[in-house]
Amino acid sequence: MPSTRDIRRRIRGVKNIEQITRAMNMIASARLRRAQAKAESARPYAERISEILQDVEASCANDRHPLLAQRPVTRIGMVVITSDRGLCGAFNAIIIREAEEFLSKQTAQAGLITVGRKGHEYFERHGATIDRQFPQPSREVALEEFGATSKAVMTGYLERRYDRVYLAYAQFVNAFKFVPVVQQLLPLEKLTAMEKRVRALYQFEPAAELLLDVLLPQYVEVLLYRALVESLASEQAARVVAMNAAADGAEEMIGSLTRKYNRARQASITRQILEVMSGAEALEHVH
Amino acid sequence: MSDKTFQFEILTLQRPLPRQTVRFVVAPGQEGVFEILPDHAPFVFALRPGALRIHTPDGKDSNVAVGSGFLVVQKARTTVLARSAERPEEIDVKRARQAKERAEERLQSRASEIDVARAKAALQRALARLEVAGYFRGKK
Repeated sequence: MPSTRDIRRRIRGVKNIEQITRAMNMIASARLRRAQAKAESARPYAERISEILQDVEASCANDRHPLLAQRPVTRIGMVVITSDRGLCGAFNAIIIREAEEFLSKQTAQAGLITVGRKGHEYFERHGATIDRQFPQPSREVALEEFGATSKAVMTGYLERRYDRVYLAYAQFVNAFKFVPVVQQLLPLEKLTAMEKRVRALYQFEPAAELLLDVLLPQYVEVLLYRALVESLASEQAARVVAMNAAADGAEEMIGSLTRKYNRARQASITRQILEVMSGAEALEHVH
Repeated sequence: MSDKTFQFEILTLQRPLPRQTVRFVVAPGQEGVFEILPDHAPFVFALRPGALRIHTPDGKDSNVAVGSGFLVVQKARTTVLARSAERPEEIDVKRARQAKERAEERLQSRASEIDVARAKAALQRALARLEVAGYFRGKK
């Protein structure tokens, strides 16, 4: 039976863990709110850009932009977005599983572009082909941080290293739910088919075909940014839940340890009293 | 000058800048600087990184350093969709100056491994920031 001192020490240790996990929980929920705000403030830009893109594309003659060109698929690329850090429950495992499941159904060869350390570590360990690896962008998700990723995707496609590029990430639903998704990134699906609306008639400078060179990469950036921000929000949400569970677990443990401690303390008191009493009794017999 | 105005907004991935009522805008187009006045025909222009000048009805001019992107003129409003947009007070002059020097060095080195287009774009961005921050004003 552990001594009361041992139990006290353990209680102190678990209390520390509880405090740390509560703090991490609070940090994660603050970051979650910021990530949600980020997703929100990108929305006007994203909406307008796809709107304009549709108009410009509709005005192009038959000339198909290379980023829209469908090719027979012999090799695919997949961007897998995971986190650099752990302690977020099954967040990374869920995305990795979704990506793997998707890849296992493909007949074409696949090369991975990993964003985030966790995914990279996993796929490296399991012998997948990793073409490029990038760290997870900071909480700012600045263009300088993920511009290289978007460039790698586009040049990979234009140079025909990939005939199709997919994006695997966590789609944010709400603070308690995210869904792992695999989405086609390139070639960009025909936007004009996406929604029907009255198209404005514009003049262009330079010509519509050349404008697409500016617009399409910017649109790919939007898609990537959205995926990164949603992943970030999902990661933080997963961390909130995980840390909450850990803190609750710690609290429960403290409860049971405290009971154990009280029992041990009571036992030792009883023992001491018994010792004193039997001592006294023994003395009485002597007299 | 007429009193006509129009609605103008700048959007970026990171954030939208507040919408403004303006008299005219001077923008750095890929094919040269151009001016947007009220009642301009619907138009889509490609932008290069540069200084965008906004003239408001109170007679004031304000500058914004924009990254590459484009400007859309619609009936209801005119919108800039740019990779970045910074007001003068948001610009880190020291950083921009370093970026400019770095890009110039790279362009002058003439080494084969440098990405000329990228260095040029970086130089353009740095110059745009410095211009908007008023860095050249004292030097002319």
